[in-house]
Amino acid sequence: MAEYTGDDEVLQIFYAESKEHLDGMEDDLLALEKQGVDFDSDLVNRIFRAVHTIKGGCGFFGLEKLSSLSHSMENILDRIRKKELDPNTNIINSLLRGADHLKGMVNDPDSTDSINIEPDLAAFKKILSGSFSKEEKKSLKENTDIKLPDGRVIFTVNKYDFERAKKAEKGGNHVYLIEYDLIHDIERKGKTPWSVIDELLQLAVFIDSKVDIDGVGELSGDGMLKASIPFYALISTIIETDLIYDFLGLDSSKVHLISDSGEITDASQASAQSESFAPMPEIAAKREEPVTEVLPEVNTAAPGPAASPPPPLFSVAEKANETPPEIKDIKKSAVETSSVRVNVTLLDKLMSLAGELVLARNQLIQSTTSKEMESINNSTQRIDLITAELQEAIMATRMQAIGIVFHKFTRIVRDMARDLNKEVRLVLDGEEVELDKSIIESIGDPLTHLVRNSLDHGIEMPAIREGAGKNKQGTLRISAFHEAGHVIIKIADDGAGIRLDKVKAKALAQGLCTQDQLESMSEKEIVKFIFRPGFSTAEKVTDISGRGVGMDVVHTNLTKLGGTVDIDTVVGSGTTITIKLPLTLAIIPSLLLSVAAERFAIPQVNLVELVRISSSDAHHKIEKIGDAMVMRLRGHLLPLIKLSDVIDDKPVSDYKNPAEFIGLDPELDGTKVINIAVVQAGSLLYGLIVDSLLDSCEIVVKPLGRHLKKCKAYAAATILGDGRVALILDLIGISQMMELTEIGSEETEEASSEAVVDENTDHRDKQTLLIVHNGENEPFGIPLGLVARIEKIKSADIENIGGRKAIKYRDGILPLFALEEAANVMARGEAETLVVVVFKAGGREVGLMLSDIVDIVETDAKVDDATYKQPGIFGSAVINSRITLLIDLYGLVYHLMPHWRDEKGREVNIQPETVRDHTPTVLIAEDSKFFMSQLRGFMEEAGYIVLTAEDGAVALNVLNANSADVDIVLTDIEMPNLDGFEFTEKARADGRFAKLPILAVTSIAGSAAEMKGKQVGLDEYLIKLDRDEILERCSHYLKNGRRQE
Amino acid sequence: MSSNHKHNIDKHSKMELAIFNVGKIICALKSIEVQEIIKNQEITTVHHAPDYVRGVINLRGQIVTIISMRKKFKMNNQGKSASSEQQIVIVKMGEESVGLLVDTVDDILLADTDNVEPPPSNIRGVRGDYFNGIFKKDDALVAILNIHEILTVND
Repeated sequence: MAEYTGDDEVLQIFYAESKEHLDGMEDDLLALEKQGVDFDSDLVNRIFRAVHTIKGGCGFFGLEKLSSLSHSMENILDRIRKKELDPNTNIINSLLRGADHLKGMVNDPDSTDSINIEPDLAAFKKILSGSFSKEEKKSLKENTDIKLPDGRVIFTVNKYDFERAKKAEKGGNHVYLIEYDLIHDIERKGKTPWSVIDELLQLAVFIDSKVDIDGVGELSGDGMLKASIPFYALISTIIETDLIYDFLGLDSSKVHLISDSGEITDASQASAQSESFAPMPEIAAKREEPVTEVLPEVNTAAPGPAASPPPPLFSVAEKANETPPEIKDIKKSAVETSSVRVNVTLLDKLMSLAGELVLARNQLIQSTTSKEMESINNSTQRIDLITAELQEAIMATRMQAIGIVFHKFTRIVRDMARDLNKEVRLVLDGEEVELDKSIIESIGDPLTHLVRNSLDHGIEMPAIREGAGKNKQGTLRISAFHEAGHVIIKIADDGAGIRLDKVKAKALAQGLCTQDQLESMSEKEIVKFIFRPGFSTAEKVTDISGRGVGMDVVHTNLTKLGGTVDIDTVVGSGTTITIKLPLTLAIIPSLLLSVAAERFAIPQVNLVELVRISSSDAHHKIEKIGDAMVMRLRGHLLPLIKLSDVIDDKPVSDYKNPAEFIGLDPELDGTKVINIAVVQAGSLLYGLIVDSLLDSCEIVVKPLGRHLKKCKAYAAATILGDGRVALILDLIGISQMMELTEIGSEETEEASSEAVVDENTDHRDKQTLLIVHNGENEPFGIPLGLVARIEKIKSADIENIGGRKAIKYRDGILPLFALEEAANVMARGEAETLVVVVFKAGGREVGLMLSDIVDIVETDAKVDDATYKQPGIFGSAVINSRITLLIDLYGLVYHLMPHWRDEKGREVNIQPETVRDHTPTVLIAEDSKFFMSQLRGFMEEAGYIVLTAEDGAVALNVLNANSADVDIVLTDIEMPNLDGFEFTEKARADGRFAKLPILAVTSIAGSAAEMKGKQVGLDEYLIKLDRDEILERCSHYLKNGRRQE
Repeated sequence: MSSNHKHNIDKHSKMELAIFNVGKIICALKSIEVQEIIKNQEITTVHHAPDYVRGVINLRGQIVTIISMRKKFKMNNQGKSASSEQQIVIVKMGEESVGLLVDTVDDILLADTDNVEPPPSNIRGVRGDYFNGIFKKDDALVAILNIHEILTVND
């Protein structure tokens, strides 16, 4: 493809100009479609002129493809303009496609070759031929050759184009062939090709234009172009022959009048003014008049400032008085990303502020030399004021209206609705709301995705809508407004809404959470699952919104911008997605924190809350699950990392246990606290442990250099008040570096299943108690782990059988006990209904009758197992500042039904003969005093000699010291220093203990833990406090020894 | 800085060089490549950065990456006393300013381009492509830095 490449800059200007024309075109075409037959002729004129201008320019640069496409579009538009063609959907579609391709070629000239415009041309031809009269059709086939004076054919024009040009708005009976020399007539006169075209367009209609490559002069010896680069333009105008030279500033020999038959009738001879080559200034002066005459016409043709094509960049100065540039015109600057249009008044303000600053500086210099304190203070104050104003003004230059982004949705919604056969009305609101340029640039894609989603999954097919009693046309409302220093964008549809049951099912199927977790989640939390990677509730992925980018990407991108996303959905009536964005990214509120002597900033938007725990608490609150350290925060497991580890690149999995992770000795550092910043990174919530939390302040975001682009941990940097640099942490990057995963994904699946178990019986010092009432207002606690079920029954259903209360329960009989039967407590009052706590004792299910369930609490309260000890009560604890008696379910039942224990005892009794001739010895490793006393209690009761150890390390020592005596070991899993797994592994490594039964008593169940247990050599998993089961299994192992592999 | 040399900058055969030391190597940069020279700046460490990045500083409100020339040259810190003053040569690469941490900045001198020779494949163990050329100043050899190569972001 032959291109005029003589002046790259000019070509760039052409592209930039064309871009601006094309940007407005899409909206105009869509508006035209809406207006239908009764279109506004100004609108069509505007589109026509845009295409025409582009066509005019193409010739100059030899952009043939662009030229032929714009030419055929122009033909269609011309016929619409003359009401010879109705702008129906079909035609608008073709024009939109054409405009897209023009845009493609203009935006990326290199891609021109790959764009196939043939289908477009064919479509236009078809449309055109359908609208032609016979005569015109004929004229289309009649070609006229326009020859140069030397006889070469320069243009081949069909008669249709020829005639049409003559009848055009600015066209006329005179058709001229104008010959420019790009070197002599344009470059040397200080013009640009573009300004020449502009000039021509003011007075004439282009029929065709071309750079005559064949006519280019040969290269002379010194490599310079000797002769000329001829550029030919075929124009039609009303201007008479004798005036045309003056207007164009050309020698008469360069302008040829063309007759209807395409012959050159030598215009120069007809002219009286031949051969006179007037000097430039005069010509310019003369030219001025007719141009200004034509201009008003241009202006009246353009309705409203919003749509008038802006004056060409380089001629702004010339015309500034007539058409003030519409700087804030949102439609025009859509494509340009690296430049910003600034309102002239704003620029003026900046100028005057800069001037003031200079003055203030001078004043300051003067006052410092004279050392007058008062005057120094004055000027400092002034500088302070000016700086603030300057900053504000500069920030304002970065603000752009969100309409730029909104506008492209008109087209997207139209096209998508058509493809999906849906009817959608798009309502845009708040287009004038301004946001920082960098945000505007980045929200386009996420918003587009949300809009696509709404159309694809939200709004239903017309038939379905009608069936549901809705308007068959769906409404998509996109609005923007300011709220509390933020910009809120809402995308609301009145479609089907998001089915929560589907989301739940999918979340379960993908293992993102458990059923129990789901039940405790709010609807909003459940809906937010759609932001998880790989989550889609659409049964089939459609081509439209399923484009490989999920909602998770949308969420991540918006979060990166410091935004938040919220979904409100009502099944059957629609979904509203609310996005909250900061006004600017350049200055952000943030929290300063420090590790060692280094200071870092985290954006306030990422900060969820600050948690401070004492180091003694930390040892209970922080747990190790899998390779992660977690903390329970209001029922959720929060993965924790230390910022110092991020700096040192130390993975969390390096820590053997929470104590090592915390790194503080609870005895020595008991008063120290651990500061945790709970942060949101994408959809992941995690805790960042820092040395200290400093201050919250507004910081100015500064980019980091190229050498640091690969550092994932930092988003940018900022300068603190003392002039030093602090790095702004990239919380998403950090979570990736530290390989943190969400609860529910692979690693933490284990964690979440444990979470459920934990809800029942927490390990370590904490335990979960069911708080109940029996008599009025007297609280009791029952270890939740022992409770099988809780039932509500009617007191009328209770029967007295054999002196014992019972109720028909499932397929059998449930014996019922009352607390007051064994213990000295207030009796249960009369009531219509009561609750029954069902548990297992003596090998059968029994129920404890109570009046009320009060609460479930997690407590680490100290258990007093002396003061209130009595049958059915094993102790007391202060819970929620009330003395609470703890119910001993087994003791209660066995106290009332001693023969049950005997029956059971026969099964679980130690049979000394099986373990040599001595009382069996059990080693119990358990760090919780409460559980230890429970375990010890019933093991001793059953006749064992009990050795105790408060952690794995101690247990190992005890075991070594009593290697010959210990017959069986019960060990907790979660213990400080050495956990149950490690203890077992170490013990098994010693040959002496190869046959020693080691049983885990724990709350951690789940296949992963059990697998690990098997690997290290644990024989069985037992639930803490499940006394009967523990005794039975111990007895079993004593009798049979370890299971043979 | 000795400004009396600066008037000769237009001479074709001469070029003005800023001379500084990195370990035992005497380095030079064309003075037109040097934006400014600063010292005693507090450098903020950037963890996880490439090892040759010493950190970042605040240069009149701009965050400037500081590259340790010793690290870039894979030198150890031998022979560098703790008190030795470290100076930062600010150079411009495209839109971005980058600081080179050097031991001491010596002098500015005019070098005859005719006396500049292509660099050997290595200079005291430092890769030769970090240098554009070498020239003799009195008895010492001065290595002219190829600033483009030094500022290349390697992976």
